Amino acid sequence: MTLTIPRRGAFAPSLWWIFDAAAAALFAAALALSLKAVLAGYTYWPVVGAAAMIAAVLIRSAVQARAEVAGVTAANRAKSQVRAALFPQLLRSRRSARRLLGEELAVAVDQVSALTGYYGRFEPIKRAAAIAPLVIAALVALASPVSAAILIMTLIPFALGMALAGGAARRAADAQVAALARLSGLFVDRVRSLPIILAFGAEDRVTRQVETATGEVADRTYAVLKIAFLSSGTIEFFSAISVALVAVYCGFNLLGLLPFPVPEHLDLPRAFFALALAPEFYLPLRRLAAAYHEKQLGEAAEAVIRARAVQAPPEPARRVGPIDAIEIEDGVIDYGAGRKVGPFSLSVACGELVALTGPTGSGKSSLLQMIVGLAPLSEGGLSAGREAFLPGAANASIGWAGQHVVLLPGTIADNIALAHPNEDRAAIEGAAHRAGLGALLATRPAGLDTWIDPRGAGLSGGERRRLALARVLLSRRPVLLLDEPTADLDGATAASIVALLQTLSTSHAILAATHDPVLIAAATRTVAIA
Amino acid sequence: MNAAGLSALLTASAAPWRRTRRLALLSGILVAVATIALLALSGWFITAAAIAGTAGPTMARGFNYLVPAATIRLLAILRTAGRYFERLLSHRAALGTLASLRTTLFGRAAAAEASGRLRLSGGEGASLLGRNVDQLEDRVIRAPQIAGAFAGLSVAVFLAAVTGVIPALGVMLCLVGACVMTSWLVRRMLPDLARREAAASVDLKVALAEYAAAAGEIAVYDLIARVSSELEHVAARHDDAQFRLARAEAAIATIPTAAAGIAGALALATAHGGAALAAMAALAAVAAGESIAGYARAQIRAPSVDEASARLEMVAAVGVSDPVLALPAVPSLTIITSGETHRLMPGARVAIVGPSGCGKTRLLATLAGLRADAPQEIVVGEHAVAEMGLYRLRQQFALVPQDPMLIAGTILDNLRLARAGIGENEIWEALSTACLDQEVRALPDRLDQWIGEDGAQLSGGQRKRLAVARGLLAARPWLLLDEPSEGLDAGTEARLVAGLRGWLDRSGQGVLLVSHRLAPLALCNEVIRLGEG
Repeated sequence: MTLTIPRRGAFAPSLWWIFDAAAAALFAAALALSLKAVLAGYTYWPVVGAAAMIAAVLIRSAVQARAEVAGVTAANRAKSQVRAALFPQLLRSRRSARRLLGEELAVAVDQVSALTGYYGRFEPIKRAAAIAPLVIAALVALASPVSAAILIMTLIPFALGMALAGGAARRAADAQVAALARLSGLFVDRVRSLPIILAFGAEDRVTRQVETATGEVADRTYAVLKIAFLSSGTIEFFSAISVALVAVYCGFNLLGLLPFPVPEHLDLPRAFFALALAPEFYLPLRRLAAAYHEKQLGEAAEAVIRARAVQAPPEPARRVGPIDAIEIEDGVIDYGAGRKVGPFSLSVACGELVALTGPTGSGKSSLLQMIVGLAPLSEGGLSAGREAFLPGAANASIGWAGQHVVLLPGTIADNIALAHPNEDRAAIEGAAHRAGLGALLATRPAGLDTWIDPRGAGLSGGERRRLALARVLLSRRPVLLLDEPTADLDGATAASIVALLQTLSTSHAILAATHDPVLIAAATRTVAIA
Repeated sequence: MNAAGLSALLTASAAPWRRTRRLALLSGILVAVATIALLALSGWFITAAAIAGTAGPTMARGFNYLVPAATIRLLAILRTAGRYFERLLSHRAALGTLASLRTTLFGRAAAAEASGRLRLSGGEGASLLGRNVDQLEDRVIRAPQIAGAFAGLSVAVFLAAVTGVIPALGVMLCLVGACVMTSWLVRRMLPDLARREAAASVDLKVALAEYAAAAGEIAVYDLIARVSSELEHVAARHDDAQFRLARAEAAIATIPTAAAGIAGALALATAHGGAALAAMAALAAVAAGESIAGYARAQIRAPSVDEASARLEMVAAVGVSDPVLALPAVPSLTIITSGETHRLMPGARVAIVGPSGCGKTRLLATLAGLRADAPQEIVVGEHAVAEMGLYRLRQQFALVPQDPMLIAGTILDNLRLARAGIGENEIWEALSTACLDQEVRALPDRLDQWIGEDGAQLSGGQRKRLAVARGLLAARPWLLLDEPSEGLDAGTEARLVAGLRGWLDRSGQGVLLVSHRLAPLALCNEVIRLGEG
């Protein structure tokens, strides 16, 4: 499965950046005409001109702000598409039940956030940088075609300079890239490895190593920057020199002292307009150079997100027909890096309530997750009756109530019906009451139609468990996988749930991971995993 | 104790770079002055040339055009060179300063971790520390731009003053006003918006973590689409918070351009002394916008830099105390488990057995001083293990952890962790005992082979054996082996066990061994059985 990262639909911010060039011309025109008024010695026209300049610069500021804001809007649209591909994979990933989600969360939230500057600023500015200088040159040409030609001509040595500087920068970076990649991660790695460093009393030796390494990173990075800054230096140089060339040309043209014939004779407003616009010619490229950091961050984030998408689990296995029992023979779950669960063997058939026991961390939850395809089964196999099936392939026959309960915005009835969307109201009500939600519903004026908000839902832990059980009942699925169905519940509530499970077990195959002695005592059989 | 705040550390780290920073500052000032002078002089030159040109050929020929034309070109070159050196030198100073700051912070982080005051060793904590230090770079890099902003402001005001008091006041009001307004708006608007953005990001992470924890339910009822769309709502709220923050930053960032434009308009309309000087004053004010923009960018970045410093402050504030160095005699070991007391004499070889999750690994890690949650009662020599502290425990115990815990570096880097002053012969002897010597000899760079982060370029079995060799080299009275033969084939396992036996016979070290496999258990002559749960 590949993750497509969208780039399209972001023309609006580029257009705004191009408008910025036009707004610059507006200001330059107001400035040139005001100066003409000053030169002519008018009393009021300079004031009008100044007002026009102020209006133009306010327009320009608004356009620049608009360009930034439009960029973020476009980036947010693109990010939403990235998430639409990323989130489902996250929910389907085969992670260890114990593993912290920190790293995955950082990918899904922080790295996706890092795309904002890349899509919202760098990309639009890059597109605008191809067009905006030409817009400026065209506007300059209206006043002074020769000045416009001078600006365009500087592009030739500029391009050569950029190619040379860029090539040198790439060579300098390539020469250092391996050493830098090793050294620059060293600080973070040594902090991460502090426990083992401390366990051997090596912190002084490692601190000296960190000192050498960070010093070397600084020196090598500096060596790269010396060359890399030549690129931005080239932009700066041509930006400054194009202003100087236009200024000197216009001055000599106005004096009539040019040593060569030109097809134009300038007056002050036209010359001044050309001069005021000259710095704008290279401005888009300078902006692009300034947004380089956003490009680096964005590209790094894209790489991480792509890698994440590649690691993502395959689509669930082809579904098998209805099952009403599960057998596992010599199953081993291998998360890699030495984290293994098993081997274990167990079976649960219709009419049984099997309690799955074992100390915390022994892999009870992992086993249940494996059955529904959320943990990697590396050895052994699953079957029902005689028919073997792959983890996750029998999910349509399985009802699930885990330690965490999915709540979505909606009414209690909506949330119960998630398990069986087309069920009628009476069935939902029946399931709710059988699961013991009656007391809860009686206290809420809206009953089943009480609105719940997934965060700060106003449901207690016990009520959430019951809601999950109501879902299980409504789903009418023959195999039930329950993870600690009585944990965190008071004695009476736990007892009522155990009684319910005993009743259900006559018509279902129930596998319940539990520590609860009451539930273990009520079970048909107990399977201990170690 | 030498506790010091982050700013003191930063000052100390920056001290050797004072000259570089001063030169960067001067370059920043040069850039600002040259940028403004270039445009101002160009404006004056064109206008004066136009006046001379319209006055007739004689006037035109009398106009001294050589000096201004040459100066314009010189300013263009000065501006370029200034910009290059400003960037280069400020980066040089920042890189050097942060390199030394990283080293100091590493020492502090180690002290904090050792005393259990901070937990940075999780991958996330470590990269957060790294990112926060990176953010400080901004402060050093942007200092010349701030200096440049004030130099630019002064030059623009000076050139306006040439044309009169009112233009000077107008330009000063606009440019100073822009600086004041930016910092005021930054402080007033951004921290709150940044907090909301951070809170929305946490909300999204919490929602993701909650739904991911309920992945089983999502899988069986086929709720992925619905949950994803609910998550998208939460993510959209985060996007919205980011949008609001970006919008505020964009609005603030336009202030310098607007203020400089207004200043230019005021200068032009109120200037005395003729059109050429008016043009000069107006363009100087407009060009000052670029300098002020550098100041504004530094201001906008300031809240996140401040936040990064605040986060580093807790690491910086940790005092480094001298570790206890006195080495007690090799102690005996008493472990009390479910009523049974095991007294282990120095040199004992003990197998720890029991079902998964009964606390075998926790027992070993507690002895190594890495955690303190072993369910057993443990006495080392005369002291309860909890009183010993990491500094004394690690002189007694060398841990070969279940997860090998390798550092990014070479094979030698990893082995040298064990102890200072290890000789090459010892290294090969330990590698041979761990059945890794032949494989290391076959590597292109042998002991200097780069093995990647956490030994990523080695196989699982090789990583394990490298950890065994490291544990042996530590030469502590007690060796703690947690599943030393995991991931090995039977032949290698047998050689490893034989090697370990020979090593222990020679060294007289005691060993506590945890293994699910039978072969290594043959090393031991005592057994401690840990009960269920």
